[in-house]
This record gives sequence, C-alpha cells and structure tokens, in this order.
Amino acid sequence: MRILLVEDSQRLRNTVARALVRLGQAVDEAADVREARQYRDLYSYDVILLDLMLPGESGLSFLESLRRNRDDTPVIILTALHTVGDRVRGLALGADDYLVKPFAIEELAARIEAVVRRRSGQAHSVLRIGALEIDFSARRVMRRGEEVSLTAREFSLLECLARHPGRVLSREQIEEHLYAETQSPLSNAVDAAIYALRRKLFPGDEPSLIHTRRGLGYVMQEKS
Amino acid sequence: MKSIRREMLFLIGAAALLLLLVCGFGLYFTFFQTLTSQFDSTLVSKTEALMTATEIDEDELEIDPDVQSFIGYGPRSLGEYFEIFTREGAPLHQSHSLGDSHLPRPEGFDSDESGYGDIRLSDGIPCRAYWATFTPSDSETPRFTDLRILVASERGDLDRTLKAAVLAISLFGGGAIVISLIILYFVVGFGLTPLDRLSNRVQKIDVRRLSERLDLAELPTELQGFGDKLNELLERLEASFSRERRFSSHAAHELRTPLAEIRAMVELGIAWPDEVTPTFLTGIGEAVTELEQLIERLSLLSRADKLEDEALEEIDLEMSVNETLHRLSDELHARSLEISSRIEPGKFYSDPILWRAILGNLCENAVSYSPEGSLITIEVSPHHLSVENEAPDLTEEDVAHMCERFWRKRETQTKGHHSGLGLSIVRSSVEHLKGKLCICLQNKRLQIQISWDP
Repeated sequence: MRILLVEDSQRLRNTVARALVRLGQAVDEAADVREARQYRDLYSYDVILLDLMLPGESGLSFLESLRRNRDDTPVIILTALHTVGDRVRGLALGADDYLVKPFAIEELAARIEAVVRRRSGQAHSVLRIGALEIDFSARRVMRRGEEVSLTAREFSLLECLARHPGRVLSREQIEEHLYAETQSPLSNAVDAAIYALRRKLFPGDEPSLIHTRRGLGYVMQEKS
Repeated sequence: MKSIRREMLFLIGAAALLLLLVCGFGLYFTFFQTLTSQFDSTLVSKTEALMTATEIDEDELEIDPDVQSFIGYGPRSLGEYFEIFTREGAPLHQSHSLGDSHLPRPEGFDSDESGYGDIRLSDGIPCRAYWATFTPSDSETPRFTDLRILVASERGDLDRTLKAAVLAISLFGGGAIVISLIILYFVVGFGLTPLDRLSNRVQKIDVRRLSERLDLAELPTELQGFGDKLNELLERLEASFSRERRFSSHAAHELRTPLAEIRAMVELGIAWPDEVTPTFLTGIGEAVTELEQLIERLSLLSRADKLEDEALEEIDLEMSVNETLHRLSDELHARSLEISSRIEPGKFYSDPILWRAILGNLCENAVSYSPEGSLITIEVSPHHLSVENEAPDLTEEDVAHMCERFWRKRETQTKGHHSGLGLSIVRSSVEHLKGKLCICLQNKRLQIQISWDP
C-alpha cells in the first residue's frame, strides 16, 4: 500500500512514516501542501494522511482541491484540532476519517486498513480466496488453518494483489504500491518478490493463486 | 434575606403611622380647642348674665330668680354652679345646685384678673370654671364693690365628646393604615412583577449560551438601566468565557503535537527496538524539551494572570540583558543579526521571573522574526524597555492581534519553537507589574515599548 503522509512536524512525520514502513507500507513524506501536490501529481496513493495546520496553505485547502479535481483518494486527517466543529468541517470537505493527535500507531494502521477496505468495497477485513484466509487488519495469512509467516513487504505485495482479485496489475503498478519515492528497487524486484511470495504461500503441489500474464503483469484469482 | 416588598411595607407603614399620629394630634387639638373655647364662651355668657342680674337690695345681694332659672341656675338645675365672694374672699351667694358646699377655688382665682381653669368638686366631679371681678350696678357700699364671681359647669359631656373624637381618630386612622398596608402589599407586588420577570429571565440564561441578551424594550423605564448593566456584564462574561475557551482549546492543541511525537516515537521503539538509535533518543529528548518549554510558558502565563503579590527584587539591568543575549547568541550569529543595546544604569525593582519573561520573549521574537543581517535595537532603563527590529511582513492588522494568545502571523504557521504565547505573556506580565505596553509599526520597523511610572 502506498501512502502519502503530509505533516509539517518533521519528528512526527519521520516517526509515523518509519512505523508504517516497518508495517510494510510505502510512504512518501511531504512537509507542506506544495510538496504534497508534487507527489500527488507524480503518483497515485492508496491513502493520504493529512495534517491540517500546515505552513502556508492549510490541509483543508489541499483536501478541498483534491475533491474539486475529482480525486477520490481516501484521506485520513491527522490533526491536533479536536473539537466537534473541526471534525465535522474535515469530514464535510471529503475526508474519510479523522484521527486526533496524539494517536496510537496501531490505531492509525487499523484506520488506514479500514478506509482502504471500504474504498475497495469489502465489508470485512478478512478475505478468503482459495485456501488462503487473509486478515488485512491483523496483517496475517492462514493457509488451511495454518499461519504463513510473511515479511511486511511480502504481506503488502499480497495485499496489493488480493485487494484487486481478478485484475491484472502491471509491474509498475505493483512497484508503485510497494516502494516509496526514496526507495529505488532493482528492476526485477517485483518479480523476485512474487517468486518469494508464491513459494511461501503455495509450497509443493499447492496450486498457486498468483498468476503471471505475460507482457501485462500479475493477477490473483482462484482459476487461471 | 432582604425583601423589597417587606422593606417597602415597613417603611411606608412607619411613615403612615407617623402621619396618623401627627394628623391625629392635630385633629384632636383642633377639636379640643374648638369645644373648650365654645364651652368657655358659654361660661362667660352665663357669668355676664349673672353679673347683670346681681342687685344690692337693702344691703343684701340678690339675683333675680327668673334670670337664674333662665340661664340654668334654677332650683332644679344640675351640673351648673356659681358662687359670689367678697373682695376679701368671703362667700356671699351661691347657686342652689351647690347646696351647702362651696366651689373649690382654682389657681389664679385670688388675683383681680378674670380667668379660666379646671376644678374638681368635693365629690370628684370635674368642672370647667370661669371667674371675674365685678361691682353690682346699684352697689353703694364698699362691701359690695369688686365682688368675685366663680362660675363652673360640669365638663363630663365635653370630656366624653373629646374621648369619642380620640377614639374615632384612632379607629379610623388605624383602620386606614391597615387597609392601606394590605392594598400596598398587593400594589408593591404588582409593581415588582417586572423585577420577578427579569429575575426569571436572567435565571434562564445558560452559562453555555452567554450570547443571549435581555430585551431592554420589554423592561419598564426604571429597570432599563439595570438591564443595560446586566447586558454589559453578560457581554464581559461572554468575552471572558470565550477567551478562556479559546485559550484551553489552543493550549490543548499546542500540547497535542509534541505529545503525538513522543507517543509515536515510543511506540515505534517498543514495536521495533532496532529503531532505537542515539539520534532517535535525541529526537525524543527534543520533543520532551519543547513540551516542557510550552508547559513552562503556560505556567508563566498563568503566573502573570494570577499572581497577587509580586516579589519585587532589585534587578541588575545590564546583567539581565547580557544573559538574555548570551542565550540567543547562537541564533544571532547564525542569522548574522546585529545588536545595538543601550542600558541606562539605575536601581530597578521588579518580579525577577516576570522581568526575565518580558525581556526574554521580546528579544527571542526580535531574533526569530528579524530578516537576516538586520539590526535589533534594545534600550533599557529603570523606567523603560524598548526592543525594535525590522518586520517587513507585519501589517497594522497583525499588530492589533499580536498579543492574543497563540496568535501567529499565519494560522497555519509552522508548529514548534514558537508557541504564539510570547507576547501574550509579555502583556500579562506588564499589566501585572502595572506598566504600559505600546506596540507600533513604523516604516516596516516594529517597536515594542514598555514603561513604568518612576
């Protein structure tokens, strides 16, 4: 999952970004709205984490401009403004969720997952596909009742594919969701990651649910 | 508890009672004078008639019996008495009604003058008496010259009439007072109805809705001034509550960011211990320091607001300025700022904490917001402090808001070192130290002056 984090407090921004990266997310960091716009023009994000009180242009103004331009990227407001009026204003302008500082990283991760899940039309955080049971909230995968140990990056790759079952995702699309701008993966990083994921999820004769579409990319579905 | 109605009833009742007493006495006195005067006139008339009817016949004093009967001194007459004496006081003649007894002689009877007086007969009957000196018209002997006549009438009827008048005045007056008080009780109650309505209206004003105001048009003229003052009080309360709410909200907001930083870093460190590096810990330390500074500023503001008796001490002006500039020396050098300071020596007494807060905040702001390479001028004397610096971005409107708590040039200005409390602390401290704060912007230079009375 690729996340844009817009926060002017460098310490908070770095810490939250670091925690999300450790959870397997790709995070781009912006200190103000100008920087956030530049990122937004370059990449598409699964979710934007937006502070409201930013130097220069405010976060609300950025949110308003996103919605005005028909950009429906989920936005979670992270702010110290805590009154009901502040929350209502943020939500009314098109925010998907609102988290008041100080917040728990765990709660932020759960809200990110919930917002993304709602946007992809899934009612539950647990997805069953073939022999797999993927719990996006707990970031855990079970195969026939047994947990499969995945790294954060591997889980993010699985999440990226599983969120769009039956849809072919290009290497570039997958790469964009897995790596932040500051990370420079090798050219075959996605292929290598897919290979590693397949080996863990579908060992031996277990039929793979991740299929390669030559020249197009990868798709996750029960039948090839 | 005091009651306007009760107090009004008491005061008006006391005034009515006093009025009744004065009027009652006046009325009684008039009655008394009139009736007594009429009574006395009758006595005089009877006396004159007796004197006229008195004759000396063969050296004997006689009074025509018909005249006696006609003026009320006949053999069967009751309650009317007279007695005639010689000049020496020996009884000569008396009315039938006296029988064998004599009239008691009133005070003043022995003089030659005529007069009135009250007497009491031997059987205790009170009488009104008149006496005079006369000489019968046909008297030829000295024995019958300058006779003294004493005429008396029982005054029982007069006294009963006067008593009846007193009773009537007391009963009717007292009754009138009681009835007046009862009517007054209801009238005062009716008159106080607008006050009750006002009281109910004020009681209904919720502390959370202090924007409400009393409709003065609904109030009677007498209460409009009071209502106006209440509205002014509500306005002041609303402003004060609003200021406090804003302050609490801002304080909460300002505390949340460093708290969020600390919490996020601690959670990251707990979840992934390999993230905990010396740099990471330094970050936590910095966040804690910022939080501490913010709390210190809030405490200072609270101190400046609530301090009742400042602890005045002699301040070394030069040392305090040098200490402040030394603390800011890194930033001064980093931003190539030039300082021009002029310190006039002299004894200066102030609260050392508030003074440090004033000087520190003004210098910090000047250093932080002056353009690089510009000049900051500091002037200090025992009665005056002035800090002046270039402020190309400030407007007159900004100057008007600069002392508001948590005000920053832009609402969305960077969080961190400047909390927006500095000038607010300066203003509160100066107010507390009974000084005058003046902020002016001229030719893009901001000058903040503080003066104290010598």
